[in-house]
Amino acid sequence: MELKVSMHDDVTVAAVEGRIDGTTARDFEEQVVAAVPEGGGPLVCDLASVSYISSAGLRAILVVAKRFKTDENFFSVCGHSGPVAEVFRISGFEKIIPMHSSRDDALAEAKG
Amino acid sequence: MPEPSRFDIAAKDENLDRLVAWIEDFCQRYTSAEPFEMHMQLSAEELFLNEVNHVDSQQRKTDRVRFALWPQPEGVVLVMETDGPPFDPFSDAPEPDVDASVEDRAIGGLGLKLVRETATKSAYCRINDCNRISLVFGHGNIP
Repeated sequence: MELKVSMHDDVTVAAVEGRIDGTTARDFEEQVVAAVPEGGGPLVCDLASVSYISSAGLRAILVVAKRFKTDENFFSVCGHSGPVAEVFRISGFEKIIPMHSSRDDALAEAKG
Repeated sequence: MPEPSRFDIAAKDENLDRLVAWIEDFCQRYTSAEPFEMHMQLSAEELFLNEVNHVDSQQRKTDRVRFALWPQPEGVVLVMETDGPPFDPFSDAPEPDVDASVEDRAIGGLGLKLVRETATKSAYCRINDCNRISLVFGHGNIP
């Protein structure tokens, strides 16, 4: 699992590549949280290059989502497809975490 | 029925990568299993880490987890055996509330739901003081 961070105005984009599983989920969570500048701000998590996610990855995403909800900061997941989208559907995450098909759509809402 | 491929590992989280590699290798050898590779990896990880994280080592006779993959003409059967205390993941594990809000969602508890939802058929039995969990992906009979 690799994570690349970029800033788009005040929006942090964390682009993830690889697998988010029981081996990598803790690193993923720590790196995503560390990617946001001190003082907070909106975060978009781009999962377009994630090939696999298990419940350990769901747990990490839920921890991040809860933190952003508490801080009233924007948090969105985008770009996911295939097996990752299936896992989100089964777990009901589609209903509770803002999701966008593309990074551009997520950024537009984050900046809106 | 052809002979299964077997894999025996200690219940330690650092062995997850070896389990994934074993499934990848199997799916390269049996084309009938390849369409189900992601579901097989997901179920194997969830069942294995559930064993690693939730079964008290004092309650086991050994820390071994035994897997077998049985190729089928139109699918594959995955079997996991452990010697921990009796536990049926398909009836003993609580069903997570997938309709709860972010604030109310419990952290964890989704792994066994993913297993139940991605396998075509599932079964649990207690044999010789062992828990045996069998999952069918695609078409096949539980051995």
